Amino acid sequence: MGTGSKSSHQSYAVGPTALAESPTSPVELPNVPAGEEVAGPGGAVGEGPAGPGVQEPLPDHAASLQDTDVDAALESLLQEPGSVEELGVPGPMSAEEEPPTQIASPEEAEPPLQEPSEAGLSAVGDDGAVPAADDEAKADEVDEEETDPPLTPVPAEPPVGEPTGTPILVGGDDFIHSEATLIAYASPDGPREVLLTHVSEEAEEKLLDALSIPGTHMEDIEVEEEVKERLDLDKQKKLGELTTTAVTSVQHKLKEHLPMSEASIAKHQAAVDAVSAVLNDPGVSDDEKAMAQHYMDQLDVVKDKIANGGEPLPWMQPYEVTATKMVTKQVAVPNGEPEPGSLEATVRKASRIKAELDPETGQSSWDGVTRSQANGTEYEIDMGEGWKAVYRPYKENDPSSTEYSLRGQLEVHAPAGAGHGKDLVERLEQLHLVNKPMTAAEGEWTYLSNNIQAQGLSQAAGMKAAMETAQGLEDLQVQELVHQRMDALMGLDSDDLQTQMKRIQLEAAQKVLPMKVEVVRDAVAKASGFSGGAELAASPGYEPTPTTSGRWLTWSRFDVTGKQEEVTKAFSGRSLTHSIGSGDLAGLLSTGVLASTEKRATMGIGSGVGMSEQDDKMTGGANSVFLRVQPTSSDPGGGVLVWDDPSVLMRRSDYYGYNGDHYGAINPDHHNYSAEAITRDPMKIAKFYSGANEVMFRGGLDLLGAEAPSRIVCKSAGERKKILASFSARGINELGGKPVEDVLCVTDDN
Amino acid sequence: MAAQQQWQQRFLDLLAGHHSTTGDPVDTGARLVVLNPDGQEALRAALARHFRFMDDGQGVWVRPLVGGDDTGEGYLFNLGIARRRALQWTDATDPRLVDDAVVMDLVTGQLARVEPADAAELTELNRWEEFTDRLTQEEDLALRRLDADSWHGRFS
Repeated sequence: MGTGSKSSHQSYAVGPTALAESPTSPVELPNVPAGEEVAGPGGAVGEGPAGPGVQEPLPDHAASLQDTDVDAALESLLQEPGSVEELGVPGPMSAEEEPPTQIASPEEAEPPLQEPSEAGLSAVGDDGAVPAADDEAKADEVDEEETDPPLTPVPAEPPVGEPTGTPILVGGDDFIHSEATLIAYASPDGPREVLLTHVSEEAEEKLLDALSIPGTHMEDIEVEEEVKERLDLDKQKKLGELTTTAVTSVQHKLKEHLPMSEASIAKHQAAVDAVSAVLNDPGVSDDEKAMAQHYMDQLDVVKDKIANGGEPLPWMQPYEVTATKMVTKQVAVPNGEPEPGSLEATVRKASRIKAELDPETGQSSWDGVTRSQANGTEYEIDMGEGWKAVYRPYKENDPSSTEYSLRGQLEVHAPAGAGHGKDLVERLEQLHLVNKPMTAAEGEWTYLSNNIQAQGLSQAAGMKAAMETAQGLEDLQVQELVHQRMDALMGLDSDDLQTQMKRIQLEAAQKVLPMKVEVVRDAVAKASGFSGGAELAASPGYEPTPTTSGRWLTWSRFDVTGKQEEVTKAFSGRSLTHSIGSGDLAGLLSTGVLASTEKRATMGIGSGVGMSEQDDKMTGGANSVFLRVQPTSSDPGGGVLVWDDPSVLMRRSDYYGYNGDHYGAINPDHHNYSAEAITRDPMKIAKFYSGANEVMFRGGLDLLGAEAPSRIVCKSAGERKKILASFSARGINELGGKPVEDVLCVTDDN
Repeated sequence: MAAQQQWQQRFLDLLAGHHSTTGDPVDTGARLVVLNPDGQEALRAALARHFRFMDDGQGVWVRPLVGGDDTGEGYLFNLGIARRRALQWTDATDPRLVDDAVVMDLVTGQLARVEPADAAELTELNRWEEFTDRLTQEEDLALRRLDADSWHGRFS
């Protein structure tokens, strides 16, 4: 067995990137603020951020402690041979010895390095008062070491009204791409601060274990509601329908520049006859007469168009009156009380925040209440003290029949008011999720995960063995820590022991992370043609930190960043494009982002109306924006964003593509998904020839930052002038290193 | 008439509603039915009356009428959902006429059938025609061009 001393681990220090230094802070006690000591028999434990790997599973031994004899369980832990120090890195997993193994699924699952979560870890945070079992030597060691700073700072007060919010990275891999966004919506009650993220499927069990879902039943309640409705006589005589039929028929001729047909004239006459009958009926009320006159006025306009033609008709509304009515509605009522120590959650139909983006001010606002309906199920979680969360679980949302893009979405809501930015992250602990910003060491783990998925390395020889070794390192570290602290652990009751085992698990995960990174980096290196991890890490394209381009955080892939010229050459004469047609280009550029459907919803763009099985929300494409590969020489028309150097975007690790219209499907259960046709290979994407090809980028593109298009084709000189004025007012003089005057062009310029 | 001309003419007629028996093309239109290779129906939706053949002659852009919803403001469509879609057929088999329909073997392995709309799809087409009366001429023309990858404006 090793000693567990600091010196014994030094040989595993991660180099040569220097970014993957061991995260040296001790693991923080659940529910204990950073820097606050907790007394216990073993002395003080923990200050600084909870470590990476919080999301990772307890080894089976630890999980088994819940229901078994404590001493026996500890004994079993100690009977296993080996130590972290004795485990070579990474000898046992050569390419020759290990068969290819599928680690990452091709769909939009969490990066393949993740391990399945286990309920055993879910009690993290339940009980912070359990005594610590650490020793003096450990505390001293902690003091000597440096804190690994977060890759992204967490703002205490996210900027109010900023539609895209503030992107942050959260440690571990509880969240897809470790990403979260802090948004502060403007509202009359003060800022509505919300954390938005996407929980990985593997981390869901932990979250669910934090909840008590007693179940609900529906009860009818009577509520007073203002409703707009047509008069009964209108519905009986079908005046609205007859008028609409006439309008639609005539409108069709006007729009298609067709001669007025006998059928159109007959439809008009039928409507006139019906409306006239009501108007001439002495028995009708004044309201009914007004209704009939409303339709007759419309029909007079139609008559004029039949006779004279001209521009299409304006929108003609049915006659409606507003009435106050008692309406029966069904509400969900909990069946019982939540379990002690858990968060009460109620089940309801899925929904989304219904924010609004003010086109004038560019500010997003939300009243904290209004939501749009979605196709699926969600939990509303009471976190106490005015805090709430909304989670849309994987297990309740069948991907074949509900919106794929909402699965795993988590919202954490602070009470109204500013200043909850850091608490929004801290509060994730209540949901048994990692609640600390990502450190550099964790960042490299995420980077490698993303590269394995992006480059399709999960089945490469040696990769499975590397994963097993990585997990083995952690298990051994757990054993070693248990051995060191045996005296303190033996005296604990079952609950306290569980808590301590969780603490040990966190600490072990944190301690071995640099070694795990080294093991996996080495495997990734060999799978991608490098001699080893050191050579890969020293290569110029190896960038294990995210790129922050103002509004997004993106991770790169070294097979592109290390071969920029090759990728650029592959795309020679080809561009990536996105057309918004006649859409509001100036408005789009005022937000500065080309955002996915899901992002647009949180920004307050979009009505939330409608649903379809063909919707991108069902295929999963709603989490991405769609671009197309086209010849650079093609005339893009107006309203088109063009990236003439696609390598600017191809460096990202989060895209996938189809050489055809697959509705951006990433949901394996959707009929438009094709495992054979989907690709993440930039060289294959460069060869896309179908006019309906599609390349999907997660979240969206920052149009004003490093990912700015090289051409923005306006529909008119006037539109170009308007956008230039807007850029000038905002101090934007260049895009992607080019003067904005050169980037903005009109169709005729090409 | 050559086979290609025949199916293209039929395709055009179906979308335009020229097969109407009332004398008014607006009383009917086309629907799209897509079948997976195993015969399972993947999509059944009315088609807007506009279309655009692709430059390579191997596909056509259409607009399946999905994403409609009865709201407090009437029946509306989400133009972010009712996006243009591509029907691309294989090199090996050109589209063909089968009874009243135009049938396409798609590059995805699916089979598409464009046929006269009735029942629910005809109702949806009528709702679409009514909905488009709310649009400005510019918006209406933008939809007809079938060139946008996303919709940035009202009703998205």
